[in-house]
Amino acid sequence: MKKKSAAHRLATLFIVAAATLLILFPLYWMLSTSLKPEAEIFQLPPTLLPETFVLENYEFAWTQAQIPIYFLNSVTYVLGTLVVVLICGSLAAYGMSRFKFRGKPAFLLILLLTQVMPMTTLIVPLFVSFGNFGLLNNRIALIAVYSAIQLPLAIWLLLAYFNSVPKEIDEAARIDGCTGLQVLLRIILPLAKPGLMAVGLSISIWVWQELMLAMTFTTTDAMRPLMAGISASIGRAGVRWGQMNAVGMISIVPIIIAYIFLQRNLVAGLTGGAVKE
Amino acid sequence: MKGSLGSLRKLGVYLYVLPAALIMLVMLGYPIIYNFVISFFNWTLRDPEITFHGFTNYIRVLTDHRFPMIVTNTVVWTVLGVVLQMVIGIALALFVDSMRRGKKYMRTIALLPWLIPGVVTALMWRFMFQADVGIINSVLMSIGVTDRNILFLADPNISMFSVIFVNLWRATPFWFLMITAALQSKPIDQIEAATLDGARYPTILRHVLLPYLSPVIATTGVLTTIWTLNYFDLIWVMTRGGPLDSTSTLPVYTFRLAFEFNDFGRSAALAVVSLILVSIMCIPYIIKIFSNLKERGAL
Repeated sequence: MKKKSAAHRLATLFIVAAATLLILFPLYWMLSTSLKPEAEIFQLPPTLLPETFVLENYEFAWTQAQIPIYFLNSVTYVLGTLVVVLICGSLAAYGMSRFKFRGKPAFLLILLLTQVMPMTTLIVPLFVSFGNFGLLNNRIALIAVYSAIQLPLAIWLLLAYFNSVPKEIDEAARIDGCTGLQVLLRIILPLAKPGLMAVGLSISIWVWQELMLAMTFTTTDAMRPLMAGISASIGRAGVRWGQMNAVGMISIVPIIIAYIFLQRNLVAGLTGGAVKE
Repeated sequence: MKGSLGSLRKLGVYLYVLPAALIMLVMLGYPIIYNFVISFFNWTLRDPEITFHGFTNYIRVLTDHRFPMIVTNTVVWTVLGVVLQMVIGIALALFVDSMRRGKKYMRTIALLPWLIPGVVTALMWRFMFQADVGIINSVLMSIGVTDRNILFLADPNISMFSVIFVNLWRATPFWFLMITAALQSKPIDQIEAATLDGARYPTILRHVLLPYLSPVIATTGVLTTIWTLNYFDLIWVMTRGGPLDSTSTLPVYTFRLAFEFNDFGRSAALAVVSLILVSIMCIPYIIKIFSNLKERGAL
C-alpha cells in the first residue's frame, strides 16, 4: 500500500467524526432530553447537558404511563414468536434439508414470494376475521401472525445452515438407532447453533419494533406492546417530550444490551440472509 | 407391504413441514385471498350492509383525487430514498475500505441506526424537527442558515424531504454494511495488477470494483426497494401521512382508509393494487435468484 496523503487522512478524520456525530447525536439528545425537567426542555437556546438532572420522566413513564405493561407485552410477543418460529422453522428446514419430496421447489419459491407481500394486504382481512372469532386483543393470535411473517425467511436461513452440516454425520447416528427427530435435536441443532442464534436475533429485533399489526390487532393497554403504545401517545395533543423521550430510552434498553454483547451475531443475522445466496 | 411402508415414510416427511405450512397458510395464504374478496364488496363500518360491488372499489380508489398524489409520494419516497441510500452507502463503504484505521469502528457504529426501532427513530427526529423547540432549528439559526423556524414536518413542501432524510439515517448503514461485507473478499490480485499497469483509482473502480460489487448492489437494491416501498412506521409516527397528505405513501394511505375512514373495501382494493405493483417490480428478480440456486444445485 502506498503512503496515504495528508488529504486522505484529513478526509478520514472528517468522515469518522461526521458519521459519529450524525449517528450518535440523536440518541444522545433523546437521553439528554429524558433527564431534563419540562421547563428546561422548552428553554432556548437548548442546553446540551441537562442543567438540572431529574428522573421524574422515567418515574412517570414507569409508574403512570402503563410502560411496564407494554414492556412485558413486547417481551411476551418476542418470546412467543421465537418459540414458534424456531421450532416450526427448524422442523421444516430439517425436512427439506434431509429428505426429497414432491413440491419442495414450489414450497421454497412460495416462501421467497411471501417476502414481497405488503403487510397492508393482511390488516383488513385479519382484522375482520379476528373480530368474528373474538381474537382481537389476543396474544396467541398476534404471535401467530408474527410467526407466519417470520417463518419464510427463517426457513431459508436455517436450511442453508442445516445443509452445511454433513449428511454423513446423521447417517451414522441413524445407524446407531436415532430417529429423525433425535438426529435433528441431538446433532443438527447443536451444530447449527450460530445459525439459530442469528435467526433468533433477527426475529426478536423485528418483533420488538413492529408497529402496523400491533396497532391493528391490539386496542387495549393490557395487550399493547411498546411501539404501539409510543405511537398512540405521540399522536395525542400536547406531547410531553420529556416523558416520550424517557419511554424511547426504556424501549431501546434491550436492543442496546444486545448491541453490546451480541454484536457479532447481529451482523451475521443482518447480512447473512442477503449475502448467503 | 413394503411399498405401503415406504409411502407411509414418505408421508412422514411432510410432517416436518406441516406445522410451518399450516401457520403460513392460515395467517398469510388465507388473508391474502380474503383480502381479494373484501376488495370486491362495499364493506364499511358505517354501513352494516355488506354488498357485492364489482370493481367499484378499484375504480373509486384509482380515480380518487388523492390517488395521483399518493402515487407520486410513493415514487419519490422510494426512488429518491433508495438512490440516496445506495450512493451514500457505496461511497462511504469504498472510502472506509481505503482507510487504514477506524474500519472496525465504522462498522460497529453503523449497526446502531439499523437496530433502533423505526418508531423510536421517528420519535427522536420528530422532537429534533420541532419548529419551536427543536434543536435543528436552533442550530440552523445560530449559524445563520435561516432566520426563522423551518417547519420541517408541518410544511407540506418540506415534510416529504424530512421523512426521506430520516429514512436515510436509518437505512444507509444497511447499504454500508452490505457493501463493506462484500469488499472483505474483493479481488486483490486484479486490483494490484491494474495498479502495476498504471491504472488510477477511478479506472479500477469502474472496471474492477463496481463489476465485482454489482451482484451485491442488485440484491441490496431489490431488498431495500421492497422495504422502503412498504415502510410504514417512520412516516406514521412522524407525520401520520400529513400535512395535507404530503407524506401519505401507499401503505400509509391504505392503513388510513381502513382505520381512519373505516372503508375496508377500498383499503383492501388499494392493498391489492400495492401487491400488484410490488410483484411487477420484484418477481422477475426473485425468479432469477431462484433459478440461479437451482442451477447450482442448492435446492
